[in-house]
Amino acid sequence: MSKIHNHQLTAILFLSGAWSVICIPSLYGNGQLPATAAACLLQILLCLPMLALQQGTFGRTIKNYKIMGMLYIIFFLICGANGFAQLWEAAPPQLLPSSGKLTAAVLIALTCFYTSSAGLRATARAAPIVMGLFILSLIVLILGAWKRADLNRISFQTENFLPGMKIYFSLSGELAAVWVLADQIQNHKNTAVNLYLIGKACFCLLILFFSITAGGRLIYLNGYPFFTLTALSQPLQGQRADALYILVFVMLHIMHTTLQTGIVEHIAEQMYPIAEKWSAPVSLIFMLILAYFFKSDILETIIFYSLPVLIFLIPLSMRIRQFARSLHKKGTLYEKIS
Amino acid sequence: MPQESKKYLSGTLEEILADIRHICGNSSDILINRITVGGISCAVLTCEGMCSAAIMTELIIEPLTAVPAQADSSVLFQYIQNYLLLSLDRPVIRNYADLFRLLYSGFAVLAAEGQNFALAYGVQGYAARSISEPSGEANLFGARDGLTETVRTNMSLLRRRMKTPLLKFELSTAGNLSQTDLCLCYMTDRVPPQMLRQIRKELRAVDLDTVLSSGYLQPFLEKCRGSLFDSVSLSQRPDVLCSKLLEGRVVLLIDGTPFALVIPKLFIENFQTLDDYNHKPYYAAFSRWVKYGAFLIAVLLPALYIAVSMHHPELLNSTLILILTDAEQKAPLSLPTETIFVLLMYEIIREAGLRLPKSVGGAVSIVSGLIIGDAAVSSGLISTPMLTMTAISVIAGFVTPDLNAPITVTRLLFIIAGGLWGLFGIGLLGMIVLYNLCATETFGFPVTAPLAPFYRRAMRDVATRVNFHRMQYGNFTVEEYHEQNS
Repeated sequence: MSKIHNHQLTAILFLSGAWSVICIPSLYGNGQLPATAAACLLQILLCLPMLALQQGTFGRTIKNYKIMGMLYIIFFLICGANGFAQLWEAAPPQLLPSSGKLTAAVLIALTCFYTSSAGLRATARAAPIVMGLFILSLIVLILGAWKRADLNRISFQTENFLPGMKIYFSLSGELAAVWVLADQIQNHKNTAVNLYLIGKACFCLLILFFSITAGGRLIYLNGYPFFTLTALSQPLQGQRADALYILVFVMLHIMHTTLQTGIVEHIAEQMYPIAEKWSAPVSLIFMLILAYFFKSDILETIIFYSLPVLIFLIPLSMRIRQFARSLHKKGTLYEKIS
Repeated sequence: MPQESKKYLSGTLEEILADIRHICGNSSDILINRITVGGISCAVLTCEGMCSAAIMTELIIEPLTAVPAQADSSVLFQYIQNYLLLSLDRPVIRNYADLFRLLYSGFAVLAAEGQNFALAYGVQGYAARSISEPSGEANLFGARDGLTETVRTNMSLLRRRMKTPLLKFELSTAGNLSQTDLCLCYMTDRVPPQMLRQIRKELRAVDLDTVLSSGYLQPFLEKCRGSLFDSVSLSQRPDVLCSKLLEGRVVLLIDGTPFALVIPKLFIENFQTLDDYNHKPYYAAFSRWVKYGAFLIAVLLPALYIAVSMHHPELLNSTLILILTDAEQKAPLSLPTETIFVLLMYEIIREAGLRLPKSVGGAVSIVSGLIIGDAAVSSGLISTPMLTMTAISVIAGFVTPDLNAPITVTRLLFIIAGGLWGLFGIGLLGMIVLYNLCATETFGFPVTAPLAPFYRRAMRDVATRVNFHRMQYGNFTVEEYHEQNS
């Protein structure tokens, strides 16, 4: 396939991350804002060595180390399942069809089956268009919330700082996608990832800021800042606009799940070319089953603990191994010459 | 072609003529005239109705009868070839396949005793439609000439506008039985060479018996199966084709159809017309945005109306809710059923109007629009707001005629999705259509370019339309959008 452009990579990662952000629970109220800000900053700093370690060799590496490929597949399946679990837990009932949350999940899974079959290239092309629509809806959302915003509702609290940070970190599963897709990305991968991190941090802080300033203690009632904000932000007089965010909600979830499914398909295809046809439906079924049996906080904890291993330790060990092999080769050459 | 037609010409003149009669099954339209030229026994073969009798008499028969006596047939043919310019197009024929192809293309064939080849002369004189204004692709300021059914006339229409040796025409044939003339046109300095090679390869692989219209070849040039949107466009306007050639595209002229294929096509081109480049830039940009809006209205308006009315009435203000409730209470059918019924009726009426003679077509419009439409609303079968929404949507679809097929189908699908699951369903189907569009490409050119992948420079002719002072710089070719396979 052709290379993914940098702006497309930024858009894919951002949209996948934005889904997680709209499902962030408001467990810690005011304390979550500084915690998230610190987590954003820390994540950007941690990603610098990660980007230096990750090279476009993932495809070759998993062909030799299939267990490693399986680890990544399981991780992305959990990320996808977490998306469905978040759908069941976070989405207010009025955003979903009256036939129920399970129907909604199955419909989304069926749609993702089609979208993932279109390939990562189609996902890459669709992402900037979806991002444009998303930014447009975000502007409408903020304009609506602006009228209700009250800065006095902000107070600096440091309690529950670490759990607040943990939430943000556990919602960054798409970072592992950077290494998997590294050999499919055009130059300036680092710029694309940095833009994504900054964009996601801004979006998250914006949502938290406006949900606190516009909603105050109301965010505790709903439990999810984004959905509180959509209920409070009404740009039109005399009519409610919450339902319009269903489109945003559906688009983000499909982008999130398509990315996870597409990556699972990509890894499976590289390891076992025969898996090309059935990897997408099987992975979607697995995601639905996992989401049905596990709550999102369990899945997020797994993501939180496995993320450093997948984005840092494995690439580091690969680099060390590569370095040792190059030293060994040099040694052999030296011996031959001498 | 019958197996015998692959044979080479050989034997006496009588044997060659016998073979010809045998291969064509003594077809009545093959005329064989025996004649003695320069003392040698010859035969002039023509196909009835394909040659001009006046040209034949003046340019072929009269000079041939004046040929002095020759020693033998080879000297005769040498004399004719070297001293008589009977026609500008005069190929040499060595096998029966070529003989019949040229004969049926309006050539006169001269065969002589003792020669295993024949001479052909282009004296075409078949009835052909004259150049007239194209029925579709109406433009206010564009040229009034359109392509005809004759490939050579169409080549001349392009050449008249592009007097440069960089414009190249490549003639070939397709269709095992029809032997339809094809002409591949491109600018040698701008066309992506890889795409040209692939197009030639695809056309060589065509194994159809006949090529009666552009639709026969289009699937061979569209590489993406299951796509709702075209990745190859059609045009009958030589001025439009020249603008496409200048952008490095390939134009395929097909004999027998006034529609040329343009490869590749971008989705955004559905919203661009020649008039955009004749209006002032501000108005051209405005009309483009009107077209973008019209496309969305055509696809989504009825579905959104149904979704909002049935699933999300809180999106409407109280006045609108009262109007809609009042109207829908009287209608006996559910909203989606009502809308689908009206749209299907429209499609039936459209088909009827299209297939019937023009004189009756007008009557269909009157009966359908005034009588059925008015009666359906008055009797309460159909609600007025729903009919208004559907009519607006249908009219909006006329703004982008090239997108008629995807608009018609997706509109119905969106209505079903909106009726079943409200905005949630519309969101899901919207993503499916978006992915379908994004996955469509041909010869490595994504139809969504320059939006996805995004090319900022191209926005001067997408989001706006800059004037020609700025447009003249940049030398845009479609090759910029090619996505390399790694």
